Amino acid sequence: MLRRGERFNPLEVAKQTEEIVCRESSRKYTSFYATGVYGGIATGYTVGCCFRCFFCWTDFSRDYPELYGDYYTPEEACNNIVKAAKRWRVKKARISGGEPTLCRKHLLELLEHMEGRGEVELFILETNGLLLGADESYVRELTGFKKVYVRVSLKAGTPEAFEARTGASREFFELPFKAVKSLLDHGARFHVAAMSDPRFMPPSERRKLIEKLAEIDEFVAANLEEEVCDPYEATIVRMSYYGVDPVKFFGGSSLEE
Amino acid sequence: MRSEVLLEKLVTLFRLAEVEGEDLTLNKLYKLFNLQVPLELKELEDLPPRLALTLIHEDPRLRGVVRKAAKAYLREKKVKI
Repeated sequence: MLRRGERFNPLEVAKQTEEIVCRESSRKYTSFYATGVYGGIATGYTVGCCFRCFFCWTDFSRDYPELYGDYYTPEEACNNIVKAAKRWRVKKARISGGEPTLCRKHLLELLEHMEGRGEVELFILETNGLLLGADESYVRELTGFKKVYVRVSLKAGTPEAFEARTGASREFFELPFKAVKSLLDHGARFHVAAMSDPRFMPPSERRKLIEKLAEIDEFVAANLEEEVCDPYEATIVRMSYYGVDPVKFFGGSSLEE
Repeated sequence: MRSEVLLEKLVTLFRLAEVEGEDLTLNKLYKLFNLQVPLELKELEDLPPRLALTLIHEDPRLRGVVRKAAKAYLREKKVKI
């Protein structure tokens, strides 16, 4: 677990996490299930992330990847996701939980398997955009898959807020925006989400974020999905750990300028 | 005239997506507001609004009007463009 207040290089954390959660083309998952979001979707819950957002809903496998999950080959993961899709009669699938773009070899092979499975029509890749922004060739590879739909989740509208919320050093703030630009340039199917909960994102920062997206593309900015923070158990514990009072937060009001 | 009506329908969809963009399908979202899913979006009614908007933006026949609607919606939100 990274210490409170510690600022880190998220690309380094990505590498260190991959050493734990990836083994050749296998990756650690904790479970496979279907849930109601997106109107019903089969989900593979991955272990490990390169950010340490205090508002994150993911269980503690994010913080202690060495303690959680089992390794699955791309084929096994694909089979388990498709099995969940069939059981719950849904046609959409995703990998979620941790950061799905860690373990690149695993992800690309999983997507290859998924392309051949008629049970799934759309595969949603939920990402924080860091690794896609750091390497354009990764985006190019993803756009080769017909079923892939990317959802990039931004965490902040300024470098200072990015550092405060994710723990990652502010010099990496631009990478998720670079990912958005790259997805656009490569003709990928995607939309952008942002954790713009007014309880911690002031209106001025929210405006900056939307205007920054509008500079990239007006449609992308208009189609921004704004997220709010929910009181999951792990979120409450993290908030306390990182010095945010969850009682005040969830009982509180929006930030004023 | 037809494209003006569609433009208004799409601006409405951007507004509805603000209420719920990920969890509910178009079908359920429109129902919540006692509205009918527009014919042009019928094929996408099982998708959440953000995904549906992305997919119609991909359609070369609709792309122009979707982009106009996006611009109108941003102006409505007073975003500098």
